[in-house]
Amino acid sequence: MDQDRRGFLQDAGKFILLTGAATIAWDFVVAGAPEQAPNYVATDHWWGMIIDIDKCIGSGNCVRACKAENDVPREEGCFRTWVERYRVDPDDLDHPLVDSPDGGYDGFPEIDRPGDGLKVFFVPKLCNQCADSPCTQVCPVGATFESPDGVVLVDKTRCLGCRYCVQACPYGCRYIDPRTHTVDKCTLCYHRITKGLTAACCEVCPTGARQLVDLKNPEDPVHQFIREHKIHVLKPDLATGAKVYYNGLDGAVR
Amino acid sequence: MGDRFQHARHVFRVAVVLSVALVAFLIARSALIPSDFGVLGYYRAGALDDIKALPIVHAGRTACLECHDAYDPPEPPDDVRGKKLVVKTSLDPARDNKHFQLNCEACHGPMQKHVDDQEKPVPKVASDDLCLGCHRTLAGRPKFQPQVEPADHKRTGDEKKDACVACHQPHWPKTSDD
Repeated sequence: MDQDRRGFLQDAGKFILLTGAATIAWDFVVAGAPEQAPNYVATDHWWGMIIDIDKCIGSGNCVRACKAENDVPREEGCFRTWVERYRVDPDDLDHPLVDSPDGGYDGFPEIDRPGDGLKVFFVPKLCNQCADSPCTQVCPVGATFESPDGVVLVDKTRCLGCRYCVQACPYGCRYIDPRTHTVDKCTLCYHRITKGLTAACCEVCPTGARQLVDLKNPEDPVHQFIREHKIHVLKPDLATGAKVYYNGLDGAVR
Repeated sequence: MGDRFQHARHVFRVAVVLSVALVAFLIARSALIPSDFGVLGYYRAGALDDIKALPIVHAGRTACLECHDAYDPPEPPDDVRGKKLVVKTSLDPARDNKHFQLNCEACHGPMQKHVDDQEKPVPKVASDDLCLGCHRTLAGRPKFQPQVEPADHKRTGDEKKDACVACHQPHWPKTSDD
């Protein structure tokens, strides 16, 4: 090798610098890799909800309680849960009339009298906590995700407000909080259910139409409910793995 | 050395620049991505704790019943006199309190503030609008739900006498002539 001392020292210096930097950098790379990170034991819960349409009286208690519990803004379109009223004319089954005045916050105004001939019923809706949720798939920054116990949550510190998930959700359950410009949605009252309480909407439902369920608990009433009732999920053709099970869901409900 | 690599030296320079850029990128990436990101999935694991720490607003029925225990009539037991109590059952099961299944907060609103500081009172909420919110006759309400058409229900014309609570005690709503 024809090299003077200066050349050797320059080469050596470059070598050490790059190797050192690469070593430090490699630690950073490896720290983020899941297989190097500590294991997380999945919890013993798999949360869902059962809603009995035959019991819902359209009181709106759930909508009010949810707004109070979760500091949901009163602006238009900001609902974590809402109630829809379906009025179906038996002669025109393809065109049900649907209304949801302020999400059912103040109940429903009278339109028909009982006996008018329309089939009327109330459908509470919320995030279906999908097991294969389309909304978590599309988030570009990992701000929305499914927790290990099956609840779809939003990390407000990471949300950009790009609204990709709002578009992706087939149930329309997400909204943009006008105060933070980030996405918000039903969290199944995660802050309550992880402490042994039930969701706020289920607490105040006067007829027990809404019930929080834990599908991993063998003693949970959901198992008997599914066996004894004709249950349905919203938009099953989209294979979202929705975990909100309805009893008595009419075909008119989209 | 100069003879062997003189045709490749331009590549070395580019490689150095690119590797410096790569290292800088990796360092910036690790600084910007939180350390708990990717541990449980494609999200920041600390978000679960953030959400779990949100404040509770509704206390829940169990919390209410800890102090406002239910009793069987006719008389509340001596040691709970003075506390507001809720009647649970009657001696005749046919006249049981149908409202006992309700969560207290369904009518009284969120009560965690009261549980935290009992000086804050539980509001009396005996307005007709509250009762009619569930009990007004409305198409689509299932038949098991007692419903009344206010205009046709025992109207005397006297506003005080026509209030729901004039005849129905909210905690035990069946009237004496039922």
